[in-house]
Amino acid sequence: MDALVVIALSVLTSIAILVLTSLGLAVVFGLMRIVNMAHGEFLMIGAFTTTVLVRSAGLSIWLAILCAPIVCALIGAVVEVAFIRSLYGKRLIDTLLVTFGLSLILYQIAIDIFGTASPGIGAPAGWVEIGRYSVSYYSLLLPVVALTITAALYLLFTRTRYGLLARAAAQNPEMASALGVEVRRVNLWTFVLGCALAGLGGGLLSPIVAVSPGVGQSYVGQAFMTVVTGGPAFLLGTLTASAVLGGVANVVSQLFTNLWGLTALLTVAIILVRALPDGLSGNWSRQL
Amino acid sequence: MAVTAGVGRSNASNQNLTEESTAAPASSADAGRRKFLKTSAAITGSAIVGRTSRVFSADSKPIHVASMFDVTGGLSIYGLPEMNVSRMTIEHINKSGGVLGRPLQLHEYDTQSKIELYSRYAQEIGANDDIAVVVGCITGASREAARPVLSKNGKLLFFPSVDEGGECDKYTFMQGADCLQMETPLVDWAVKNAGKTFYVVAADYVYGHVATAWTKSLVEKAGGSVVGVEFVPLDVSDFGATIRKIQTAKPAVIMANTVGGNHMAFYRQFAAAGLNRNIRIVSPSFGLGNEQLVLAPEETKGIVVAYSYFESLNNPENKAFVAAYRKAYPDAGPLMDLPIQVWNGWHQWKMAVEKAGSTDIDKVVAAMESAIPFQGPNGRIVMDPVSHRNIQDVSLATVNAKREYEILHTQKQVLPSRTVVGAESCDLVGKDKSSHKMILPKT
Amino acid sequence: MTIPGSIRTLSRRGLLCPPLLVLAVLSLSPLLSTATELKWTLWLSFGILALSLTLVWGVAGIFSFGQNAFFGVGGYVFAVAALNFFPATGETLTALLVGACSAALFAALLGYVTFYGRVGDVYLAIVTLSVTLILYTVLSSTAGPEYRIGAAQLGGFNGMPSVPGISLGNGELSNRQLFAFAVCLAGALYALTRFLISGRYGQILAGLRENETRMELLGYDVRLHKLLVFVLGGGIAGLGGGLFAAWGTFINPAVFSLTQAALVAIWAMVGGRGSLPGAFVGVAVVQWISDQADKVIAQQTPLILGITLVATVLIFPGGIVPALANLLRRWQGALRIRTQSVAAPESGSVDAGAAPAETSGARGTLGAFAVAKRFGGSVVLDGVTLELGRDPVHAIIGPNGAGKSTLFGLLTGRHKVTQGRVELNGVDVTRAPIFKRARHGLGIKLQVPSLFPKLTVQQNVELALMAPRAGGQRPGSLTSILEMVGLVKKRDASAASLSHGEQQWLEIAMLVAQNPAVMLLDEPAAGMTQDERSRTVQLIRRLSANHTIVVVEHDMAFVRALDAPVAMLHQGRVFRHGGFNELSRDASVRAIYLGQQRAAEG
Repeated sequence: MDALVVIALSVLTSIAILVLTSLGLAVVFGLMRIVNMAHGEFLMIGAFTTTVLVRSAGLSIWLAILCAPIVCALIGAVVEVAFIRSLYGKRLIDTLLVTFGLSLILYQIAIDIFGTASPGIGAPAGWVEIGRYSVSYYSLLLPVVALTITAALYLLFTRTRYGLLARAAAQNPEMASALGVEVRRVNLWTFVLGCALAGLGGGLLSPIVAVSPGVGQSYVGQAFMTVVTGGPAFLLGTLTASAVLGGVANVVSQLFTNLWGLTALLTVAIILVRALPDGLSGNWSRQL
Repeated sequence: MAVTAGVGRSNASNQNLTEESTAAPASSADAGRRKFLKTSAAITGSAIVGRTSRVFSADSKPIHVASMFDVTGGLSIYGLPEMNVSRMTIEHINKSGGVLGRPLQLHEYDTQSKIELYSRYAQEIGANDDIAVVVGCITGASREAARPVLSKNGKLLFFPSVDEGGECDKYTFMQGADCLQMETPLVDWAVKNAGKTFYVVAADYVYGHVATAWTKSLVEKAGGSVVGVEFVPLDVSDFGATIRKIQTAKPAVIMANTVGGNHMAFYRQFAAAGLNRNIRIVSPSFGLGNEQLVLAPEETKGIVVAYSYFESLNNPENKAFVAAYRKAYPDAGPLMDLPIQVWNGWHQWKMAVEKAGSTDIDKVVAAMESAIPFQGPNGRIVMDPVSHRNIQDVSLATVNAKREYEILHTQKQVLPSRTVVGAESCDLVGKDKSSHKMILPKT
Repeated sequence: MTIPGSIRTLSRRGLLCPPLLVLAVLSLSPLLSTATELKWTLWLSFGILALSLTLVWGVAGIFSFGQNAFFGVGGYVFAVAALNFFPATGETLTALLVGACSAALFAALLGYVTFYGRVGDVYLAIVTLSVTLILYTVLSSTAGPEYRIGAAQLGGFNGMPSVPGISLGNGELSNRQLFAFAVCLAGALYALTRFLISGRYGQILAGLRENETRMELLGYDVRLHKLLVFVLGGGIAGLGGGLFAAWGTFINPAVFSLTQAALVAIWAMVGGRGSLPGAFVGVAVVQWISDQADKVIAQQTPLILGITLVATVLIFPGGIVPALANLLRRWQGALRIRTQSVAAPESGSVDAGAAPAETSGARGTLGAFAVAKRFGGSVVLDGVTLELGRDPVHAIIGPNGAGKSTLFGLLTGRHKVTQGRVELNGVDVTRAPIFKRARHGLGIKLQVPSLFPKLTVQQNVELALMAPRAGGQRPGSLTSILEMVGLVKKRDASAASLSHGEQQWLEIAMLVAQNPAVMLLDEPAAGMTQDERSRTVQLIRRLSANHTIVVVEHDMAFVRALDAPVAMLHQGRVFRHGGFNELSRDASVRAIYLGQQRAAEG
């Protein structure tokens, strides 16, 4: 019985990790159709920000986690203005390749600054006993945080002026522009938001993984699968896709081995994309 | 795996290695050269240096040797110190008169953490008649990419890393400790101090599988039992399922054969779930990637590791070595086992060549097999001719709150394995004296 | 054919340059050092992989982000085959071929699943990428001894060592011989691909790349063509992989990694997306930069490579080879007088009064019988029966929301009927896909001109002329068709550079070239000037001599000018049938258009 509870909680944590690492990509891809291959590096920058602030500046870990999206937002703004801006409307592949080049650049800069093995931080808050198992509080916190962030984003996109403008600019940039929306500014905000979300995800992950310049790489592939499988409703679709893929991966890992879990995730993603070429939310009436 | 798209560099240190640092001509702006010059300046001041005047006559031809390591890319944390020590060692040997009165000329190959470059550079070295020996390779994968090519072309390979065993090649010498040498003291210690039930968490590639096979056989011999085994692919960092399974199995000890950055998350998540209060972790692979620096002290305290070398070993060779290394590379991190084996390897080869009187490969192999002892920074080492592995001391240590290793106990002159677990034995002076192969275990 | 003429043809079809190049390189080979030969052999194997992506992506427009999967499959299968059979047979050429065939087979499977599932652009990239990642993950974990195929141990992450090199029966090739072999192989593959794309097949691939929908409307079996080119690309990549494994005598899962996948795209991009020689140039440049970067700044290669990539995309988006070619062309152009005229479009250039174009054939019939269509919960068409073909021209009108576009979609095959039957020339095509209907004689012109924007006017019409058709009627010469729509003077202009009206006429020209029995036109007058509209009416009248024309329109003046029977749709049904004047006098029709009917009802 307690095993089932613990497995369920573990599944929730895996899903939460997938959500947190995919939301940034979903926002940028869903609204701007830009494939940000440097997403993993923004995750990494967020993770390093948190780690460095805790270790060197002695900030509390919660404060440090909140600083991660701010730093990534700033860097994201620079990146958008310098590189991405000129690619709007161009072929999708061009943005993919430019952002891939950027990911190499950011990765190397991180190695130059931090080296390949730098001190990290541990998870706060201790653990709780469930029957004969113990589960860390932090891993229970993650699903709550993921849900909160998704809800906040939903409100942002439905209740605020920016949200409305962003969706309009995404659906019909020319029309939006004709109506006086400054599309460039809106796109900047959207990209910055995406990078901030990635940074937040990285910051949240930093106490439970080993933070190194390559840490973002292992999440990029899965984030892509999730976003693409989720379909056009980029918030709820990503949430659903995370639930499906993350759940499948975790359960299969529990029953068999980690290898099969990873394979199952990728296979299910392919099957879903084949069966529902517009993604899970392709036929939904929901926009988000 | 980290994203790398690195370089291929085969720049031979063309300058005459014998010249004094002060008089050395600054002919190029090459950064590698600058480092080299710094090294020679440093060595001049160390206790190891012998004569300071020109030691080689103008017409003594250099002996060409090579080193292949991942100096850039994801494995650079291992490769860079190893290449640095290679340089340092060659410089030191040249300062003390070279080998057979001839200077050594080191060709450096940076394989950038890319396996295909091991293949390619091995082919290049193989086609280069001058090169006599290679000290190189880091992972078993890279060794297997290079060894068959080098062997086929009659080049000696000294492999400085720890490994899982199975090598059975007349032209290859394995410097690092193997599973038997490391896991035996670990298992013995664990059974005495922690408990008899073991859970194995291992990296899912050849090393992990073989090491686990060894663990199983050693644990049974020690009267314990293995209650669970988990193979984890190298790029997995979410250990939720693993930790739950461990808790179901309730072991007393975890044998952690983790490899790489992603696997460090295991220790982190293990500690986050509070499991490190009651379950001891022993590991023959922890620390090679400076895990103790990346992880927080509360996550690493109590982990017991076994290596042939620790920087805190108290002997005169080690003191001299560390002093020289720190002077040459003041920014380098803690010294682990691998770079020391590079030093050992070059010296063992040197002694063999001097005994054989030539660099001819078969003569050198015969001289190596005559088991000349060498006093390295990790104590006395001597080659076991049958297995081409070193008999060496193995120490157990644990990480303290200051992220340093404290040595618990040193086992002297531990014998390496001569058999491959579950499979045949390898006898390089007997039935396998012309073998160039790798024996895979039955796990 | 004269000798200079035949040489020119050979050159154009790629049979002259490649052999000459191969000979040139081979004659250089004694001067090269072993290290260089080893390096270039590796680059050639990469070049073959890049060539396959250039074919599949640059030429055919299929962005296969995981193209390295086929490279890896080729390499692994070669390794397994060679390890097993080389001791017995003494040669590994068969193993190389087996590797290539396996890769091609794998491509066939993957292609079938993706193309026939109508997976879109980006999604295809992701699917191919995830396939290669799955292979990477799975193969990395085949470390145990139970993972063996015959004598070949898969070795998991460590890979397979001691793979035999290439052997033609007389022992393994030396480094120099392997280099020669690689040069010949690369040259042969390059010649093959050049030959293929310089002919008719190349035009088809260009059409696929520029506008897949349009190809389908013309009657090409788009999915089959994509599958074929994908399989070819897979086979080529597989050959490269086998060569790679033989060169290194080693293969491991790193060939399937994300880095390798991205690298292939980088090579193709840098060399020039659609440029076949660019594949090899791209490999050489990128790999050379990788090798040299360390000498510039120690150990900063990812940085240098990243900067190179960003710079290439932003500054030379077409890649290096096309940029150089453009430069050359500009210099050439500056030295020669331009022969292409840039005259203003002549109005009245549609020659309505001249002799009819040599289109032949009978007019066809198109019928919808009790056709209904539901989307989710809403019923858009509720039992429409229309028999078109008795008169040469028909018009379908209706207010917004009446279901015109949906009906159009059902007739063309874009949507599937929920109920009812569609017949074309007496053949039941209710379940037939678009391209089959096109082949059976249905010509479709969409509201927004669907052309091949980067191809010239002439190339556009050529593709329509080459389209497969079940009837086999010859539609007449290209020039006469262009004359009919008044675009002869612009035959070498790109379709994208035409004015809106001219684009509509080009599309009509393509329809004429297709020579269908029935032509379906969706708002042909949209966006035209008054002048252009009247020319269009005349054109339609002329065409109706040999084709049944069905027009769906909004523009009432245009419909009146057509002087054809009109069917009016309202709320998913045929509301009225009759002549235009008849309907315009009908009070209820007027009411519907002015909204009164709805107000009265609701």
